[in-house]
Amino acid sequence: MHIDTFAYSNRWRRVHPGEKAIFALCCLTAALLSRTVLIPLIIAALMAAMTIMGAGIPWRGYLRIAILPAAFLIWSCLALAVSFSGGELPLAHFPALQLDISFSRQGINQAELALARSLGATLSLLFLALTTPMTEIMGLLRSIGTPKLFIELMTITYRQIFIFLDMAGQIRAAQEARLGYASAGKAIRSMAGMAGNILLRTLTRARHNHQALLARGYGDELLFLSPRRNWSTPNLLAAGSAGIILIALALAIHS
Amino acid sequence: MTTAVIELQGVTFTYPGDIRALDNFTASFVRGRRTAVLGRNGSGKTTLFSLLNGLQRPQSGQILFDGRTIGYDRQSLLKLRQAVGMVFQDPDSQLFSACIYEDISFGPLNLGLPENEVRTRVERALTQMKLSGLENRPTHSLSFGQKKRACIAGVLAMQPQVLVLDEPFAGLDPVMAAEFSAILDELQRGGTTLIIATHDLDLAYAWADQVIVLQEGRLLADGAATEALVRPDVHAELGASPIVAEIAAVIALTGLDVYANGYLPRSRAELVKSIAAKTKGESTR
Ligand SMILES: Nc1ncnc2c1ncn2[C@@H]1O[C@H](COP(=O)(O)OP(=O)(O)OP(=O)(O)O)[C@@H](O)[C@H]1O
Ligand SMILES: [Mg+2]
Repeated sequence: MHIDTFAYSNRWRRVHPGEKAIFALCCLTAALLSRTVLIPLIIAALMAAMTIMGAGIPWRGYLRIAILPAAFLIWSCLALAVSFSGGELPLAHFPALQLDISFSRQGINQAELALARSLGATLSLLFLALTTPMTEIMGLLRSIGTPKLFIELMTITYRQIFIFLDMAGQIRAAQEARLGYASAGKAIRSMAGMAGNILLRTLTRARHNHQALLARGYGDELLFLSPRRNWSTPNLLAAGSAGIILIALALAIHS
Repeated sequence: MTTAVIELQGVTFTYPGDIRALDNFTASFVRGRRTAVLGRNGSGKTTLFSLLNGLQRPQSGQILFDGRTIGYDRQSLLKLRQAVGMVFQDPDSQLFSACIYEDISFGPLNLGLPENEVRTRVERALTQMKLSGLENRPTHSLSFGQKKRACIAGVLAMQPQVLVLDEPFAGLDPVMAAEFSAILDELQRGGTTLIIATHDLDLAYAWADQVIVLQEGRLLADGAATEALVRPDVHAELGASPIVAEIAAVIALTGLDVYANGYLPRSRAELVKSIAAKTKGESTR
């Protein structure tokens, strides 16, 4: 849940979420539209720089979060590059299996482009996720007219995740304090106990939550207002123009 | 003049599984007063509270608000829930959003107030509960006491006539408890009726005008704090008496009249003041 901590305590916390979202989405679009690897890589670098130097997210933390999607991307792009039908750069040959593994030029090009694009896009989204708290992203989604039910579910789920983690953490600590994890057998028994307990508690909790909502006049819609934030014209202009330039570049440059 | 704002007449409430939480319970809460509800764990305090704003419906007996039997249709419930605000024992069951600003705006919006009015009320509740500056922190990073204050703010923003609080002081540090107590004083001056559940006898003794003591879902005592809490049967049920009352009684035995002029010390500070005044009076004589 590091993402969450960073989102609430970075230098750009006070910047209007809309400004950050516009920038991130423009960059995302540019990365996906570009036909060369250059633009997406520039975007990826720009995003990393903005997140680390601009918003002040520590680079170690950033790496730790970014490494997972990046590794996944590299792995899947590798699969794109590999060909089983006689590429230009042979890798391995298994006559017994009639299997021919190789890299093809075209495959490599494709993989490169896909990798660059997705990296740019991922880091753009990561920028938004690391600088903007979930509640503000939800507020933003709400103001652009996302269906209410969806927002309500997100709001409640997001809150409940932490209550759930808290509950699991407490039970686990209580079990551990009584040596519930001293051996493999005990650990399994403790885990089972925890799962059952969490289920029961979650049900009670849901009932209590519902009652508390009713007590404040809950009808059939979860009504609430998000805190007001002011748009800043310079920020908006900077974000918008940088985004548009990148998109234009992405469209203009062919290989 | 004392008028009852909420009255319960012969109320019986049974949970599924034949658990009788309230048994032929009759009591009334006086408008503008502070009432403390006491009783051992499981004696029915929380259940009683959930009846007060229509969260549960008694199987028999009736509940009157402002002299009228409460209705359980949608409109009546909404009205009742605006008039009777309820703060729950566990803050996590009340806060539904990770943003306390959003959470506090929930109640007023349900009353159908316009956005500007809601925002003013949210701001006011935030300052009142000393939460300004915390409204941008996620709920899960707040301390227990801070969450508790957020819950109270969420109910205050609805401006209820009656404020029902389930163990509001539990989990607050002494400074915060004193501040919160001052907030309650202020609300009372503004005409709000206050009802709290508590396990703290000393607090009930010092704070409440009226106390109601529950024993296994039945009414054991109902009266002025200074009288009801020193009754032998109440002592036997709750396992203790307010310390100030006990000390005052012991000191009175030594001949030092701490009760002079009908003045009954209710808090530690008052007791100390009273003893100091008395001993000074004796030594200068
Ligand atoms: N949802 C429920 N289902 C079944 N029984 C319940 C439920 N809630 C409470 N009870 C039972 O009703 C009785 C009264 O409970 P209640 O929560 O009102 O007590 P309380 O005075 O608030 O206790 P505490 O001081 O521990 O908060 C208890 O015996 C309890 O076990
Ligand atoms: Mg209770």
